[in-house]
Amino acid sequence: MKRIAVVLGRGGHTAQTFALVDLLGNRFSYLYLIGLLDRLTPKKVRIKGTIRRVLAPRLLPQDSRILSMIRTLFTMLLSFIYFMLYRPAAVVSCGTGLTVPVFYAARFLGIKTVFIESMSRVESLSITGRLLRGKTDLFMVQWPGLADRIPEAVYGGQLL
Amino acid sequence: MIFLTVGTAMFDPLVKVMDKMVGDSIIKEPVVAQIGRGQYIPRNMRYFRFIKSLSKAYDSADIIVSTGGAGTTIECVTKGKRLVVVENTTLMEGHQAQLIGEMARRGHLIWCRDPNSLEDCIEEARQKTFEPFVSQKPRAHELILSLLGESE
Repeated sequence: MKRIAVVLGRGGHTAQTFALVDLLGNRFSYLYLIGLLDRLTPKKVRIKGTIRRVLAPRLLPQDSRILSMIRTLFTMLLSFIYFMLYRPAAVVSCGTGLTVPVFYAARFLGIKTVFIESMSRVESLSITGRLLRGKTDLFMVQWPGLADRIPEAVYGGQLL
Repeated sequence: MIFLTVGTAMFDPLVKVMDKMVGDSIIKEPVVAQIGRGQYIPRNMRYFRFIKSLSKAYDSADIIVSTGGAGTTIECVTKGKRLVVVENTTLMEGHQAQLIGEMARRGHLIWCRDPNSLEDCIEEARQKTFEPFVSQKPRAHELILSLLGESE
């Protein structure tokens, strides 16, 4: 059975991500990458999988750049190790800020990357979306008007 | 019952305004608040910090006051609930304005741009008819399956 790695952040991204996992269903096994201090998200998992922890690049707006950079590198390294161990066929994300370092590790290992911009984005991309456009195997948005504006984007319907 | 939710973050200014409105008897019906990681502890209304799912609270509320997080917004507009949104502008990548704006334009929620006018917004929500938002069918999973060479 192929495995899919799922990047999970806090809040609305999470609801969209789990909706996607429900749609993908039991034909895959799952590796969930969740922020270190996030105690709520693991409780929301509906299709069981392996949970591994990464570090959110920014916890608070006032966090220093150096600290975020170290966290980002650490997350990239952690993802690299998890991907070596669990060998997912693809890694998917619905737009959380955690995504960038995880996707870089995936690309390095030739694992397919799928980014779905949050449904909150009606008119323009998020920072994460802007950083990743053109650098993923699949780049989806959830509003047709936004898909028209971003050449790299495919309209993927709405997850919620 | 009015249900106030700040989602996984915190938004004390909104909790404070609501607590004061209840204290001053401007709002007479029961209010329950989900205050997240907020520092301000309400004195005049029932509150809790987090819960696994807010669905039950949404269902039993007559009016929902939220901070505009995507999860809450979409769940409530899909259910056609009376939703008042006071955008939490303190969040890092908290650009919820696009979704709130789109849903407000379509008439699925009331965008309350100033927490101090919450009273008026709640009154407006009482009067208004909220049509449920019907979302488009997702096909993200189909695209992923074809990327991985899996058949439906």
